[in-house]
Amino acid sequence: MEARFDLTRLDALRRSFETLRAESAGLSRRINELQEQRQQIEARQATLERQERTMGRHAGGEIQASIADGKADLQRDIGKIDRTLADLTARHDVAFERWQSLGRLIERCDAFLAAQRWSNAA
Amino acid sequence: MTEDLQKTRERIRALKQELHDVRLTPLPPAEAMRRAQETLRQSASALRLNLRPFIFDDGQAELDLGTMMRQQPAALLSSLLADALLDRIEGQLNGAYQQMRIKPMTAVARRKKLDALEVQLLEAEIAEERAIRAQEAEGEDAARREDADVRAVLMMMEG
Repeated sequence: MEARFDLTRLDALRRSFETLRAESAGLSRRINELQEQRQQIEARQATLERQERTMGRHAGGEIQASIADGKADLQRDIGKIDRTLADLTARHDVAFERWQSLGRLIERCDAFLAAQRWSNAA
Repeated sequence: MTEDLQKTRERIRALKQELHDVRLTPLPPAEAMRRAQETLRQSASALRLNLRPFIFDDGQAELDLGTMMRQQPAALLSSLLADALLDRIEGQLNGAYQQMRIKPMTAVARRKKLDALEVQLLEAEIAEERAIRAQEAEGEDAARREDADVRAVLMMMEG
């Protein structure tokens, strides 16, 4: 089959590659930020638990209720972060895999075109 | 992914599997035996026994097997055992063919079949690339396969 090759296709693939790389890196950054936020919330949870233990039975009902509310809020925040993290991680894995896969395809295209140039030159 | 693209990819997978199966299809027994004989003949001719050291200037020869064995063991074994080796190969081939469930294919028929399948595969790969480009033109995202045929990926297409 006589075929003509369009070199602008390779440029388009490289642009997609860059877009996927940026997307993957952006998602990765966002995942790291959320993981940091999660650690901060866990630290606040630990502080509240320490306060709860320190005050023990001596704390009044109002304080105990306030601590319980605070813990529940933090737990809700963690749940929200975990859901977002699961979503972002899934999107990151897809983008990362596509980026890597496209990179390997581009390498094969480069090798093919190089072989074509050699055979044309010979 | 559109239905067309999915079907094309299924066809590509099926064609690749068929190509793999055809490549592994055995030759008919006679053809396999002929190839074994040929291979053995080639290696035997590379190991041909050199009798010159055993023939003297006066035309007398002293064909001492012990000396030959020490000096040219591979050549001597090859010349003595070639026929026995062929018999053994033939026996093993016959045994293997009796147990085989795949229908053998001659080398010529196999080459023809592979050529036809390769053309069909390239056509399917081009159809896939065309579908991907159509999707991209619509602003939709479509991932290319990592093992896509680069001839299709880089092909200049009209329209």
